[in-house]
Amino acid sequence: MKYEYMILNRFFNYRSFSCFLSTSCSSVDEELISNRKDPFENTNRKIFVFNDKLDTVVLEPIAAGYNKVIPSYAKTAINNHVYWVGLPNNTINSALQRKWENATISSLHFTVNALTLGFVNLLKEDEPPHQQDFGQTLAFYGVSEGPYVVVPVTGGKTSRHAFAEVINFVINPYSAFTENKTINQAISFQPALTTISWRARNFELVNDLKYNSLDSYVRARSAYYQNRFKKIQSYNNNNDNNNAPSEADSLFDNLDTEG
Amino acid sequence: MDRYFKLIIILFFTFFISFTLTSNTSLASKTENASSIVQKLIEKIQNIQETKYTEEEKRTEFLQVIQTFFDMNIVAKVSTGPYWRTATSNEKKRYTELITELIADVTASQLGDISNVEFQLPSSTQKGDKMVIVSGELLVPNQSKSKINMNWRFSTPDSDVPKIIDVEFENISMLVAQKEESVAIIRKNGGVFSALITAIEEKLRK
Repeated sequence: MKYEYMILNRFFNYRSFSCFLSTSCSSVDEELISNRKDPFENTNRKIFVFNDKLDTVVLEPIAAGYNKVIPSYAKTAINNHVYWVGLPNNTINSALQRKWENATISSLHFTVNALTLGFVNLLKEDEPPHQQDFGQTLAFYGVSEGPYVVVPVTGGKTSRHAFAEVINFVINPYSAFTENKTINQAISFQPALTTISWRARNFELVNDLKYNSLDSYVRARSAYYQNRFKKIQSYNNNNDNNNAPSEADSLFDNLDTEG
Repeated sequence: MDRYFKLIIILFFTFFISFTLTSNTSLASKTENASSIVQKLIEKIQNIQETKYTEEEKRTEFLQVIQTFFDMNIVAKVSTGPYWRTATSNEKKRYTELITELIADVTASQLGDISNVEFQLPSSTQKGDKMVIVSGELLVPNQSKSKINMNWRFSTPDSDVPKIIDVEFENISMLVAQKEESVAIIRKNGGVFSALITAIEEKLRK
């Protein structure tokens, strides 16, 4: 088992790993690097600019229209459905992390809400399962996060998380139904639906990041790391999100002693 | 001798119990204070939203709110990380003014046009001796995300009124993000602190 971790860790620590995503990776001068987790900042920034333009031209107007046209009950139903679709992956990853209770709750929510294809949450009163993805599973097994990479279209993440998204896609339980044409078509719409509903749900937060920050690339990276850190910490330490350790905690350690 | 020994033990316990009670009461009052300050802040924001101000007046009102409720000296110091020490006193003063204006501008643009903002389910947690975190849900009607999880981090010095030093929206600390941005801008400009001041001035002019 230890040997497997070693191989995985070596794989994620290998600097050129993220270059499989881009053929023109270039690392930044150590002096100019804004964050040690981001050795490929130059390339990442270029992809970020592309993603940003894509968002401005395509996603932002669609999300704005979606928010304007779709009534709030329909948006809730779509959000519920998107969440429901992700539950089998959640169950698998909870089980891989030996979080049996969460795996059970997750499968229960999936089974019960299957009656409405997830559009109506029939277990609204119950505590929802914690969301677990394959990136968190890799973190659970001690795989290091690797360098930060900005992936075209899907955005910035650690290389562990980027790799995990590929695996999440591969182990997608719905792929077992690929012979059924209707299910197949429904599956092909899922990524677009998930992206649009996420962008619409976070419309003002994302726009604030895009238009109100001094350096939107750095702010997006910071937001990603903080969110990811808290997600992994909160559940691994059995805390709720509000009481989980935060990256901000360390900011004030030396407050009294600093000049 | 035995009597003196008993007296010393009684005195010790009396001191110990009174010290524990006093410090617990002081911790409890710190958390209560911080919670009530958040409520006052929300009321103040509601007042601004309900009054028909011009954009410029709104901005000035939010600037006053930030100056009253936030400890901008700590925010300025922490948000520049190790570069705070390299700044001259004039640069420190100017940066503190600018970051206050920037936060007021962003708050005015985010909350200025929304009405009926509410803060619900507040709970306070003591973090060490000098900090309190007030958590809860911010209800923002007619926004795409109408319920936002929020944490307000307070500095609670014994001698002074608690003041806000950080705000977290959905697990994202604005101070951590600001620090990373500030440090990135200073580094990109060869460690020159004034480059950050120029960048904020340009941003405010836009």
